[in-house]
Amino acid sequence: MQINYLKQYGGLIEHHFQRTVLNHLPKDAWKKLNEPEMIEEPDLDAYVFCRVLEAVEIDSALGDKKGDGADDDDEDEMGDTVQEHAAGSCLIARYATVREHVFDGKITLLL
Amino acid sequence: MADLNNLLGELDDRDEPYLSDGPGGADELSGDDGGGYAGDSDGGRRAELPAALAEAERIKATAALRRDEDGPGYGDGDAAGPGAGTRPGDGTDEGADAEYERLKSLWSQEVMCPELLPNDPDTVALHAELLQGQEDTIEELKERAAAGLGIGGGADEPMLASLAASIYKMEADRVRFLLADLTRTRLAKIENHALYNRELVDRMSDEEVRCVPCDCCHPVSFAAVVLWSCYVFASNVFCVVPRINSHLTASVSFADKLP
Repeated sequence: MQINYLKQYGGLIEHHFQRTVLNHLPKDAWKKLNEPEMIEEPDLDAYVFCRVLEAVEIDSALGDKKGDGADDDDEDEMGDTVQEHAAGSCLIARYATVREHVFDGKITLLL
Repeated sequence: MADLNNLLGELDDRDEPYLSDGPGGADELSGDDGGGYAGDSDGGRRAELPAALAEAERIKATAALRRDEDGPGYGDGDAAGPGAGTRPGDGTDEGADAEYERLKSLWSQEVMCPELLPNDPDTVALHAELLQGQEDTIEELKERAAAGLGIGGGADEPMLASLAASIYKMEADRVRFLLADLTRTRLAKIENHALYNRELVDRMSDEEVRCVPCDCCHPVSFAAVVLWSCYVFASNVFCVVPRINSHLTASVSFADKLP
């Protein structure tokens, strides 16, 4: 009975959206819906706590879409944004900068 | 009133515990009448420490001393249960089950990561299977306790069987929570960024793939994807429909379109 109710509910919603939205959309708009900027992405610039398991080099400018991730504090005298971190150190970093290391298992996120 | 100006300096100077087991330690403190600031000497500073904190410090120091005497073998092998053999500060639990630690790590990583992480079907399947076995054990122990039998089958202490069942159940509840919250977190991520996750199908399990409105996963029309967007938009902006059921509705909607 609940499944039937859910199916009817889904059908009603679908019919409602088709009647109120889809039937009135211009055809060009349909093509734009699948473009990358139309698709919401997870916030990879979110800051995370992490612990370094193996010595790694982290580029603080990596994956910086907004351009404000690497400030002057992250750069050394040569303007280099890559920093080395020894195993065992705990960091607060933008997720985009440590993403590859998380997948490689060199950095673990802390709860 | 605490001397806040010197607080940082005191923390830097505090390389060793306030109290030692030697003369001038906890015993000396308990004999002191707590006369407040007795000057800048260590004696004056110790006098301000509450008795309970002093006792905790003494126990901690004793435990650390005992651990050093036990040597590197401490915590290995015959751990009595979760938490046994834990070294404070190093964040590891040597006596605990490695597979359970693996599941816990999987869960914590997934909870803290903004994006969907690769699925680990082996660990999840293993714990789901172990959980089923553990529930059978709990039922068996409960039956033994109800029949007045002990753990070993003899008539020894049915209370022990009941106690063991409680401990097993607590352990099973912990694993069940991790499995449920891991799945819940992953589904929430898939649902929140459904269209983005169409390209991350290789990180999902077969069950999770069914929740994704993906042309490459299901032979559904592009209109279904648009409908999904409309649905999410409507539930976010107008709050007309309950957000929590959106993936269920979408699944039903897509299922109708399947051949």
